[in-house]
Amino acid sequence: MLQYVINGLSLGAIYTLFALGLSISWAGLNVLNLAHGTVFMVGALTAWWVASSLTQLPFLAVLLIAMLVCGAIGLAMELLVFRPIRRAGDENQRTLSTVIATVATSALLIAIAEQITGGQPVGMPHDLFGVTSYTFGDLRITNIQIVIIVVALIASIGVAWFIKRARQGQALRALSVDRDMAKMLGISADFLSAATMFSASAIAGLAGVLLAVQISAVEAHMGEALLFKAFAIIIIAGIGSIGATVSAAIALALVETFIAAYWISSLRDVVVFGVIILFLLVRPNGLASKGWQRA
Amino acid sequence: MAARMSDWLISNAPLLRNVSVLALLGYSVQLALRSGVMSFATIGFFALGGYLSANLLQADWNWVVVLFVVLIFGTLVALVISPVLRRLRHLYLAMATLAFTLFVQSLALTWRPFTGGAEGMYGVPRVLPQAGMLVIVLIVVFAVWYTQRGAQGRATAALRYDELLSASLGVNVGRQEIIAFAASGAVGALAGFVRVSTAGVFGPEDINFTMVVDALTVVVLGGTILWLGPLVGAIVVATLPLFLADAGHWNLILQAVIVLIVVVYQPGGIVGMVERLIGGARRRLKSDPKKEIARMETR
Repeated sequence: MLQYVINGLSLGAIYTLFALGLSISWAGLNVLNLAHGTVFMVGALTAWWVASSLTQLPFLAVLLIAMLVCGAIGLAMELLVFRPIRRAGDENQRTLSTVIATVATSALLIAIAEQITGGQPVGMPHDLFGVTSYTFGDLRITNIQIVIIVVALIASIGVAWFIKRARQGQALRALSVDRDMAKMLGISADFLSAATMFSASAIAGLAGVLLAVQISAVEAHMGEALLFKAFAIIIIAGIGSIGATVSAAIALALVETFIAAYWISSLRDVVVFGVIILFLLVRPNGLASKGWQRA
Repeated sequence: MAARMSDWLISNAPLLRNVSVLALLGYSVQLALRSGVMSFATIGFFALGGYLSANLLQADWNWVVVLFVVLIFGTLVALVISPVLRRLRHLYLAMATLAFTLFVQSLALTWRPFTGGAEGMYGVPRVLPQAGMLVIVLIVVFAVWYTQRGAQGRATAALRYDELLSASLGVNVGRQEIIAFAASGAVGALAGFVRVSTAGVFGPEDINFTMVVDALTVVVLGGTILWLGPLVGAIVVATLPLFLADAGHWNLILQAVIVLIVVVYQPGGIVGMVERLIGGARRRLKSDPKKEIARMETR
């Protein structure tokens, strides 16, 4: 019983890290980034490539490289795709173009990844991070699970602090309410957008590396299933609310873990979809819809 | 002449099948889009239509009956999820409809008795004649063209530009959106029927993320609004691999890059681009404001 709680918590921590970036880029920039799952995969793939082809680097360095690569991809998306789109057309056209562009970016990254991996799952080198497990009575927890939970905790507190308290975080909230007004008040919208895409993608990459170490495999389509879960989390929590996102992520992971343990494993996605539809009908803005998010 | 024509049709059957399926998928996406419903549910409907047809055809149903059952089923599923439409806008709608597609994909892998799991369905009777397939596509193209004209077409266009304004001008916004989504569901499911009844196989690789990208590519390349768009887009996407044959694995990468460039720099797509060029030339020759307005309205 308690074992399932531990497993659910570490799954929820991965969900949290994944959903955080998706939620911030949506709240701040009004971008639904469907390439987020692919950036997550690129993080894992970069770590695999660095660890298996370069000389022995410490885990932290590999992690940092993967995060930088993902951050750079996010930055490139903002500069080469979102920014030119933002400057043309009416709002409906812009929103549509942006969503489709993220799908195309995702297709591009997946095609490149399949080129590298040969379309097959690749195994993470075991000496990158020595996974060991500790047992307390009946309970078993691995060191990577602890790392994942701690990292997710630090990341969510950091992001929550940034958005609530930091000056640039306040500017980001202003940006989400009214981009033009914020610009008139002297906020550098371009810089802030670029920085947001960089950080959101870097966090996705971080989550990708951690999950790949835990399941010791990397696969070109590994981000797609997470995208479905992240949608559910965002719909339950509402956009941009960090506390609600974390709670929803953990609750969803626990529910899934318990369904898999005590009921039928393949019914997990049916339940998740049911929850999505229910929330969309009853409370489409999510549980914690606050002023600075838009529905 | 006629003999050569039919030879060409037979020898290019796989290509024609791809064009037909892609065109139907494109129209399914476009039918929703042109009413302002940002829907990613098309591949979900495609999967439902495909698996349903596969099961019914394997049970030796007549294909005409299957065709209508699939159309009705696609419409019904769309109607069942349509209450969600009224509550959601833009990005939320895109996310909810994509969640539907992801859910159907996951269902296809786990509900083995109906879908064949990871292997998919195979050995389905290939009963749809080529002429029947082409007639289906032509009927859909005609229906899309027909509904873009006149009062109906103007109501749809108004909806796309400003929902609030069109509501105040007497357009029943909710009904229009539900009709558009139901049509999108029916055509999406129809594409699944056409695919199964001509190819004989249907599996998870037919409904994966690549297919979502292909359907969007068709619409983006052709143009998101113009009635001819998806057909042109489907022909381009289906023949692209022939031109890029030397590129091998770079095929998919190139396709994605082309879509990105078109979305960012040519939002009207190929048809929009051509029309703008022709329109520009025409305007320079003879400018008639009344005709200009009429032209804008019929788009």
